[in-house]
Amino acid sequence: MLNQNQSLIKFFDAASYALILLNIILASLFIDKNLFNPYIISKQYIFIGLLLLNLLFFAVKIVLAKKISYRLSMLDVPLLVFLAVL
Amino acid sequence: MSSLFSVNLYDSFLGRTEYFVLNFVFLLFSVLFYFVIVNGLHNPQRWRGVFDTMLIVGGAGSTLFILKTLFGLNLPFVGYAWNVVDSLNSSFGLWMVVIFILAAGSLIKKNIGVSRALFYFFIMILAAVPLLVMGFAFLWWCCCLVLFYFYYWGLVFCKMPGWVGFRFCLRC
Repeated sequence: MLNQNQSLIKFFDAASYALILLNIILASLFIDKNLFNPYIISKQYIFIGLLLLNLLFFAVKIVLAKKISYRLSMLDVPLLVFLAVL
Repeated sequence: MSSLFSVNLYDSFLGRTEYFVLNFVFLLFSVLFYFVIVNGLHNPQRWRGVFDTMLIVGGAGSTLFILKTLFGLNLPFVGYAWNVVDSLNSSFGLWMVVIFILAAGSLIKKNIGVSRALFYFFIMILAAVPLLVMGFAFLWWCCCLVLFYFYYWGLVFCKMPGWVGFRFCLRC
């Protein structure tokens, strides 16, 4: 069971990385000609959709590992303050 | 808070469809993307992969722009658009400045293989061509400022003793 969880965690970790790469590729290159402005909505929907999927994978990883592993960075607090002000 | 007290509440919160305005939803997801990147990229190979992907995407965007402007080709999924990044060519040019600087900065590193050096070289050329085609003075000023910024930090790190200064000197 533990071994199966480890392989699933590895899978979701790799899938999360693949989604980051896919987000960079599609958010930059994808446009929808059928829209009035082909750039704004199509790029934002792709970006937000893939990011939500990535967050879901991150949550599944936490559930499978049964521990919250979060990597701290020096910009965490300034960004949270920025979001609060926003 | 600022969205709630904004004159245009919905525009400030959700943005507009006709043109881009900074909005709460976009900024919120941008911050979440930062957290996902920090937690997802936990080794140098992954950072290298993201970096190379950015350069490849930049090269692809530049190629589409060159095909459109120099050869007049309208690709099926792009249509009559000039570039795939933004409706304004100046925004695309700014992005090309970033790609150019990243590719050129990677090219001048000492310990890279021939294939990687060729890859950086072609991306650098691909990023430089749209800048030459557009020729906006504003873009050249941006490029100049970024180069001086790198030069300044190169000087600062060269004066720093120890491993950090040594590594930065090797890079520059």
